[in-house]
Amino acid sequence: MYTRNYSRIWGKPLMLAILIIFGLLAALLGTGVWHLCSWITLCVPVLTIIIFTLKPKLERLHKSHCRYSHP
Amino acid sequence: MFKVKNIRKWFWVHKWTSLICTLFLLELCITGLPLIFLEQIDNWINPPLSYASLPANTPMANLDSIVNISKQHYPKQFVRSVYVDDDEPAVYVYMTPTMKPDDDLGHSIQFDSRTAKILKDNPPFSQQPETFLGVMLSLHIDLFMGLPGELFLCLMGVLFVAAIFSGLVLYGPFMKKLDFGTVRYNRSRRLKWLDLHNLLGIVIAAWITVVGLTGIMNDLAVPLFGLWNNTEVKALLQSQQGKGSLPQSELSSVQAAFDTARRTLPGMTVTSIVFPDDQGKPSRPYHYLLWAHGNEPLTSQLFYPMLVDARTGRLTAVVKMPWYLRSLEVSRPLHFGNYGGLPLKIIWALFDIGAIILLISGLCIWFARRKSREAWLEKILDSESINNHENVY
Repeated sequence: MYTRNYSRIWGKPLMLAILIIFGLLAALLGTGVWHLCSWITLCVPVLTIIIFTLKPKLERLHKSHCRYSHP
Repeated sequence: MFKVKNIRKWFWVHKWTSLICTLFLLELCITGLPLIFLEQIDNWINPPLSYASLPANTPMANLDSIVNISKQHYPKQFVRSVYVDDDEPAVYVYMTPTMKPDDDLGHSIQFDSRTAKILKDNPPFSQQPETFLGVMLSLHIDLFMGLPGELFLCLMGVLFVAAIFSGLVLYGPFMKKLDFGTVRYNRSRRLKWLDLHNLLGIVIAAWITVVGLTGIMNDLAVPLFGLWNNTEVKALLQSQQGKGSLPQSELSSVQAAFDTARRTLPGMTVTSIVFPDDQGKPSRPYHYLLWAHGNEPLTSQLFYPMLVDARTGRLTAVVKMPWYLRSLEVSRPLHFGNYGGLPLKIIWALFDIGAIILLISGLCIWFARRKSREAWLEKILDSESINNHENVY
């Protein structure tokens, strides 16, 4: 139970941190395709922020839209 | 499990470390934003000079003749260094009217490296008008205050890293009952900011930690180079301390020193030649100091200094760079984000904007009514007390 809660809280943050560190180092240590890998992995945190800040708003929009279409 | 007393302690640390550094960090993030695109903005404001179109394999002109042309233009001045551009076919000769360390009338002449023709004779740096990027750089590096400003911002950086760490510690208990990335828009305004603060903070935590730590390193550049000059470089030049310089007319060939350096470190790019200087710290009356670097993304950041005797033209030593200067060199790209093309710069800017919102949201939470802040803390503490009966205070 304790471990499950721990990984529930820290699982995603840890994954994001690993992606960021990988992205930062990939562009520094490699060239060519590694730069592409770096750009892609570093986009994940950016998209995460955008998705999670917009999600509640979109859900609310969706709900009110449903209310309109099925009164 | 986290003890109630500990949460209070970490909350206090997070509040005060952030409060002290937030305004300065905000200033750093905002001035840093245009600096990410320094090259692009600079090329846009000052379009690169048009170089003579010559075949790509045209050899470089002799550096001695470039230096001689500079001396003919300013016969009473001293050549201090020659910089061979590794991107463009340009050579810059830096001159000063005197050899004094605080001479602020230093100026540079830009040459076409293949034809040895003067492209631009720049006015002294101190008399050039302030540029937008120059102001941004000064605000970002030292707040126009020189070394004290750098050390002050370094201290703010240390507080920032402490704020990040304490924020991470608080993230655990805060998220105990919430899913990752929950943003409660339908509750109070303060809760909304708090949720956004937590989401932003945890997602970009690794990036702000890296940029914070490398920023601290960069602000220590002056003391670290000073330490190196006063120990390893000084030891190499020990026998020559207190001796007068050779007249510049008696120095050995610059081109020969450049060639010696290139032969010593094949596969590297030699970019600059600093002339003998008996008033520097340490005094270097008889030696050229040459700087070379590698050609890969990482090795291009690692510099190799060499001393070439300006009396004989022979190599004296490749000076060893200590670990702290190597760390500083690796810190630079990781702070600037200038090592992975334009896409990386854009990502850097997005992270930077994220950091700005993180700081502002932190301030918003602080400005929110104290009462509700206390209530929030009490709430967490309550739920913690329920979870650890043994730790009730």
